[in-house]
Amino acid sequence: MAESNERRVPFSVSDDMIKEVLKSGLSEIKASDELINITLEKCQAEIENKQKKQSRKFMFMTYKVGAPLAAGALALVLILNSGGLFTKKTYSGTPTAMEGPVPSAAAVPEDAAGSVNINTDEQVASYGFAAPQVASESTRLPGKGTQMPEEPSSGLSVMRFGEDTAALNSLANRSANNDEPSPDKLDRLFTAITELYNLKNGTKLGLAKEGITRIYTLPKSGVNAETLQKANDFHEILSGEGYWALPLKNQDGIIDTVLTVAEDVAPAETSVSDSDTVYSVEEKEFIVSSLEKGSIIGSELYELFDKSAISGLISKAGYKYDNEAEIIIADINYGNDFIVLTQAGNEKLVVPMLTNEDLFGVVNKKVYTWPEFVRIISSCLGQ
Amino acid sequence: MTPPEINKEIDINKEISRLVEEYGNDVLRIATVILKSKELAEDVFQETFLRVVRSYSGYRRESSEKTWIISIAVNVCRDYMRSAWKRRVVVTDDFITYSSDSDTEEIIEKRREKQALINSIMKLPDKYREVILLFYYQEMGVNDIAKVLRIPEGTVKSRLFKARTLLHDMIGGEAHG
Repeated sequence: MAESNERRVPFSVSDDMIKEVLKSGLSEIKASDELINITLEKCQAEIENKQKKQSRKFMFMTYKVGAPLAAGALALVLILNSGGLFTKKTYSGTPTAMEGPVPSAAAVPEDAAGSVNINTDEQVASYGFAAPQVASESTRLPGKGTQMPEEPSSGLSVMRFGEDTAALNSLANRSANNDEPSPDKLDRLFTAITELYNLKNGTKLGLAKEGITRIYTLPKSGVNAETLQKANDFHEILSGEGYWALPLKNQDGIIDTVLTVAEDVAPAETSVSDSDTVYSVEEKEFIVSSLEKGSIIGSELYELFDKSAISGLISKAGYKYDNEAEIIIADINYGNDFIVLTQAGNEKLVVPMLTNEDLFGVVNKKVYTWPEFVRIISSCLGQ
Repeated sequence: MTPPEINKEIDINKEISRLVEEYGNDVLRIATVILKSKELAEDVFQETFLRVVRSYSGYRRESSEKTWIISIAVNVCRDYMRSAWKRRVVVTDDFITYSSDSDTEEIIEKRREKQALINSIMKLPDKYREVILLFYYQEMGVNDIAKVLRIPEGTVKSRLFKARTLLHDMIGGEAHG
């Protein structure tokens, strides 16, 4: 097709022609019966779930007993992060939107001094290094997905503050802790990506290294109510997959942009959306997306980058916050909704940071204990 | 009159079925063009109507039914597009093809032009492809497009102008409109 396009001769483009071309060209695209039926089944299930939720609330109110959260055992396996929906995609065998790869150590060069080349037409920028390091699976960060997922990643992801980026070894469900890249390597990679971003966009933003954050995703199968209830703490529901978030500051020291960075593991012939750019660092490619300040995602992320704001919320709720405590931020909904996971004393705490508050049944920015959070969310999931 | 709860549920089911039947193809086509992927478009199809179910009770009919659903579909597409960690998709420039059997030279040439134009539309940046699709295919007014895309009407107009200009540049002919 591309070839025939090249052979075309110039012709006039009129409104009518555009309209006619779209009308006739798109007319062949029709929803299959299978797609319609599956969609209607899901919709019906959604409607029934709503009704069950109402019934359950009624019973709870009536008997005033701690209803055993058997609701959660109704086994509605709902993905926390499926496009803002509590549903698990089942129709297409093709993976949906989310994958959470993080840069592998292999992608990080030993020597950051190199040449920069940007091809904006193809949305590819590259950074050549003098001494590239050989890639190997064993050097990938824990949970780094190297294959295209069969199902959407649930997108529960984790960001940490106050730790160097190589010390992310304490989470459960991680399999390659011993082979994580050094902070120096990641630092050079992120510096290179920042430079490429600035070159491409004509900006002079600086990487706020203290805010570099790792983001993990949930297991691809999603997290259902039962899984949540069985989890002794939040580490058990996290997958090792994820990506990185790089806050960039302007010359006034204010965070201007947040870049999300994920290693590009897709075949070369695939494309990215206009909002993404592929940055090539040595022989590895990374999908970089900038979250502009003011966007829904961006605004939430910016707040999440402020550790003092989070510790303030926790202290305000009456907990004695330990500044050394690990803070984990989980993206539970395509980057739209997050939960902050941390600990005060022996109490495991969760703070929802949501843009879709109604979806989860929890109050935005309220501090919950882990059991409280699990009870509410699993009840919501089990509906 | 408030119908009994059970009837309300049945009504919603019927209503969703109607909406899927009435707007399903539009949703699928829009998603296919925006995301350039049939597979993702099918995901968007499902998610769009699930969101319709969830927001059905809140739909106040301030906008037309079509605008409402198209708006949801576009937002679902954007959810997919704006994520750096979203699954990469194979560009499907050729999912819209015009057959070229043994016809007269004139017909073959027309088809070639159509193919070139549709290919050019597919190569437009997302924001221009969106407005082209909504304006020419959905035949929505600037006002409704502004609502769907949540941008000022002036921005819709400027994007339409730019989109036409880009198409003109890609085709190499003249743009009228």
